[in-house]
Amino acid sequence: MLLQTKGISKAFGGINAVVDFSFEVEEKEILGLIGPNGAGKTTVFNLLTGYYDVDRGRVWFDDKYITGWKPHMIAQRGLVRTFQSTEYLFFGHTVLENVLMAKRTFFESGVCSNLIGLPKGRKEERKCREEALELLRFMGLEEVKDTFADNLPHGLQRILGVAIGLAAKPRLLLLDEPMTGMNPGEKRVMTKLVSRIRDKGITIVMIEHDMRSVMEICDRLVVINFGHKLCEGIPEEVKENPDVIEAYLGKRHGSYSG
Amino acid sequence: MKKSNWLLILAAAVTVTLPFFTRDAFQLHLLIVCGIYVVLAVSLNLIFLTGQLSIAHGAVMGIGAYTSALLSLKLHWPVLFCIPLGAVVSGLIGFIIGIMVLRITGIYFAIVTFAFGEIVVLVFLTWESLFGGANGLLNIPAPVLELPGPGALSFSSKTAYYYLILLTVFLTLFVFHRFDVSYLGRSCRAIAKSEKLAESTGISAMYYKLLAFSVGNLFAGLAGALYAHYLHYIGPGYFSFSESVHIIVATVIGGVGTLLGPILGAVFLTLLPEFLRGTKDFEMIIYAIILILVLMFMPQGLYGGVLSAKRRFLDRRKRGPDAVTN
Repeated sequence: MLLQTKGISKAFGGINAVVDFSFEVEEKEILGLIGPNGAGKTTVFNLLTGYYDVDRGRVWFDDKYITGWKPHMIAQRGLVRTFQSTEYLFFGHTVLENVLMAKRTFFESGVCSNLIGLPKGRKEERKCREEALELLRFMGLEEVKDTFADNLPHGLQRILGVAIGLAAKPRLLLLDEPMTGMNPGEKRVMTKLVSRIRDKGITIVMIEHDMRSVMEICDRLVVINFGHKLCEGIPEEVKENPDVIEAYLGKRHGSYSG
Repeated sequence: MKKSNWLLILAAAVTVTLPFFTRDAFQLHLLIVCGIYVVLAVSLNLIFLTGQLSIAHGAVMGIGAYTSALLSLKLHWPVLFCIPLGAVVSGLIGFIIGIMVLRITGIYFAIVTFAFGEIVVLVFLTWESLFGGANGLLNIPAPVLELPGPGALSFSSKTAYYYLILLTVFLTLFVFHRFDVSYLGRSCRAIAKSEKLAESTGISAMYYKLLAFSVGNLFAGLAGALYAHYLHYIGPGYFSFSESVHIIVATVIGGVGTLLGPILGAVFLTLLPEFLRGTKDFEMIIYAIILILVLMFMPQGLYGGVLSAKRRFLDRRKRGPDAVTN
């Protein structure tokens, strides 16, 4: 088990955003975290990665108790998240620079050896560039590597967001709505990318509203509504679950009552 | 060899041979002041890199100056040993202040550093027994290098001091260039763009802000110490709020975020008043107008302006049937 949470809760004022939420992520699976708007999905990501402090509950990642850790410590450990909004890119920098900036964890040479220019730091720098270019090739961003992040079309900005997350060398990558605002062609590209990332041995938890993509690539789904876990299981089961249908479509009078 | 390397060697050769072209003491004095402001502007730029504006740079320079001056005056330690110590004390105070205030960002950080700078100057002014109050410190000795063979080499002449400053400038530029091209500089820029995103990739914002703030302040202290032993006299007025603003203006006029920008800005701002000397009463007005014009037409600073002018020139030359528009 790569990630485990037990009863995490978070309230903002009087609103219970996440209530007693427990789930587990197995190594090398793609887990979909789905639910209606405002169900608390992104809050769960923020709680897991230390951006919010949990009110109650515990989180283990890779057999380490990470509750209360700072975001950068959690990221260094290998639990990396992406952001829902494409505002979270290093604007004013090229695609290659964006990826290089995110590769801090790659470096082992210290401050002093870099300031006086010892060969170790220089060698690392060269190797880091090679890795970054390889990552861009993998993500299909090689042709736009010298384009400024600001000038990319929306679909490529989303892919760059994922590339930045991957550059940080995650073992578990949390994708927050990677396909929002994409056209069907771009969605197909992203779906393929996500399963290729998993094939590299990286576990994925994904928040996504596009049901066709979710059903296609997720091994397991966890459904959340009003901060509570509604159910979990393989996509086919979840799709038929009456509670889930009710959460998404509302209750029809007289049906599902018995 | 690469073109940029040739330019570097040319620049080094010009700066090294400059004293041979001038016998005028005042021109040498200006060159020395230029060098000190280059160190100040480049080190402030490092703090800028993390997206923080410090209005205490003049005061931090003062900490280095007073530390080194007092150590050499009261304890009679060798000056060439006191100068680095002054720098280290400035860096350490920067580190301690940084731990307390680097959590806050933007305008609030600027205000806190402003207050810190004022406190430092007030301490210089009111603690008369140690810092000499408004009179400052007098008769600060010049550095002397004890050589085993031919005897002592004194830096009391302007030419000798110029080379000491030049050496410091080269050292500073090398360190900041290395900072810039390694992951250290990249992490700082990442934090300036988006702290939240930077942290999501494992960059500790506090660590890099503290690093940049400490190293920046260390070099400000170094510049201050060199200034004290050059002038042989320092007073609280030299490190006031207006001094901090002067350094900020030099950095911004030159171009924030680049290495060459602050150098250009520091030289420009030091030499500009000299060219305006003839205008007498209008000096400050013309000075201000020039600064406004520079920022109006070159919002990226002098260096940014030079770059875009060069780009336009190249575009014009390229323009033809097979021109590539970008």
